[in-house]
Amino acid sequence: MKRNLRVTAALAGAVLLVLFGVAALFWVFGQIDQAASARQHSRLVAMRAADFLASLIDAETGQRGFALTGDDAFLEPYLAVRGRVSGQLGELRQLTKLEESRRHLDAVRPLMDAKMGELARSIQMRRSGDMAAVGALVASGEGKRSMDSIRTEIGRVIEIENLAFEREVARFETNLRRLFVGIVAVSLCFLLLGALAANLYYRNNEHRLRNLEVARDIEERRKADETVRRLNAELEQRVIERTAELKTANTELEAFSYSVSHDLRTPVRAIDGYTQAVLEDYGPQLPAEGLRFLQTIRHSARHLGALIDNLLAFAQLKQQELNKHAIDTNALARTALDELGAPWPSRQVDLRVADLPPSFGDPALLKQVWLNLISNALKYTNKRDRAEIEIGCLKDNGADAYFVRDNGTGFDMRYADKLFGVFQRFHRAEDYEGTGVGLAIVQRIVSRHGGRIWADAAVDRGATFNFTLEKETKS
Amino acid sequence: MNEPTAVELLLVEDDPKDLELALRSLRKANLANRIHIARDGAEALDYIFCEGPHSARRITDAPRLILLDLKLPKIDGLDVLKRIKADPRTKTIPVVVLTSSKEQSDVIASYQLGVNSYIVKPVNFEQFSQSVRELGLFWLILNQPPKAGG
Repeated sequence: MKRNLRVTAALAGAVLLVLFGVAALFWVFGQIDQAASARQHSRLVAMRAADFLASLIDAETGQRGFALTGDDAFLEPYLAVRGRVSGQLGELRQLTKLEESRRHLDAVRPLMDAKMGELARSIQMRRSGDMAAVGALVASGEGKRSMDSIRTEIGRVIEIENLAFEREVARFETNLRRLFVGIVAVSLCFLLLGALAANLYYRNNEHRLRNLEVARDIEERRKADETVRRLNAELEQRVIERTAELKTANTELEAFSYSVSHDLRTPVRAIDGYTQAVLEDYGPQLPAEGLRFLQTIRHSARHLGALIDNLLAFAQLKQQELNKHAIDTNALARTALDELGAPWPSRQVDLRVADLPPSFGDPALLKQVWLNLISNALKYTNKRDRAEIEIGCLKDNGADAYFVRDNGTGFDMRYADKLFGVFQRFHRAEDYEGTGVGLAIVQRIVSRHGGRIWADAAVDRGATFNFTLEKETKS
Repeated sequence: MNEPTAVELLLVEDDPKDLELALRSLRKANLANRIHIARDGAEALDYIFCEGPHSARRITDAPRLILLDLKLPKIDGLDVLKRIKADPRTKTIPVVVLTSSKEQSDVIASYQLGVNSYIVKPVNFEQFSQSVRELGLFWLILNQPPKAGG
């Protein structure tokens, strides 16, 4: 703002300068014009003064000729001039603009009258034949004196006018130079003015541009802020919506679980129960084929029941809260073995259980892990004459890796990635019973304990399942 | 001592198949001598509190055991349980919830209301039959309840 004011002041100064310069130029131009016309005038006055003098000399020359010869022919110049000289002098007096010249011209008039009178008298005397009087008049020197005086005065006038001429020429030339300088100066002033105006315009524009830029920046930031706010609001809205969806999904899942748990199990039990009732009450009356069909129905019903129960257990694992404790793993594995009926007197099972380091986790769920792994080992070795089941623990990257190894039917490691999927089965149902949920449950429990599970196996050469658990988080 | 007219067991079950199978199991175990059957929660409450068709019954002639399903028409099993356990005249009657529901919320709610046992009906009928036999044996024969009204 301050700088703008300065520039504006400079601009005003420049405008004044230019105006002054132009005025000066006009003045100089006037001077030149005046000088030119005055110069012309002085020259004219000097010429007319010379003419006037020439007229008087012509008159005198005519008078002298006549006086000497008495021939009228000599009088012609005198007669031509006689009536004219007074007018010439008056004209000259009017023409000159110089007071000094006018004074000299005023002095000429009586001299001229005297001269013209003297000439007229001498001519008269000659006509009357009085030669002696003429001679006396000329000898008196009166005519010569007046003529000399006139010559002197007119000479002065010419001199004065010539001086004036010189002066005006000098004035003309001085002002011509001034005109040149003035034009240059005014041009420079114009240039300066233009530069200042351009500067002011540029500054203003720049300022306006900067203002525009700032305004644009503010607008952009405002838009960005708005976008961020809108995105945040949208995100919040989406979180709310998604939470609501999840809540709905969760509620639906719970309702589904409840429904499965209650409604789906009831008819399965009825199928099993009524089949059992038929077998008990009417078994003896049925042919062998009918009995076999009923056994198949019962078998299928129980399988369906087990599927439902396992699936429900698997689904509930996700939501179930973990109740973690330090666990005596030896005791836990022992309990699992007992529940599975170890040492299986009806079979030949070579069971080896190493000392297991303590673990940390939910005892009920980890017991399920041991139960599922050991029962799998039992199941897949049931075609062996002598089953070998080994339970132990190795170090895996510093972590305790518990394992259950068997010499059972094993599996192709190419399918290892499908091993822990729900309903993934590697064997035909008639070979090995199962729901395909056991290992999925094991994997889910292990992963909920921050651990890892993996298997090593080969077809017909047994399988080893290894799992780790997270370390105890508090001492 | 119980009056001869007093039932030994009140069986609250809406599903006719489960009902029949339960009765079969009880009969086979010789435990179903005097059984009253209620097919929904309202019927159960009428019987227990001697209301409606059972207004002639004396409330002191309480059953020795109530087998209660949870998912019942009209009045839910948990509400029936709540009424029984909230009333000083009936709260000493042993109530065993026998249901298909494995839901933890149902188990917790039942125990908070004072249920005496919570048994999930096994899908396997043999196991179901065995459960019914065992709980009948325990509550009707081995268990010594306080004298009703005393």
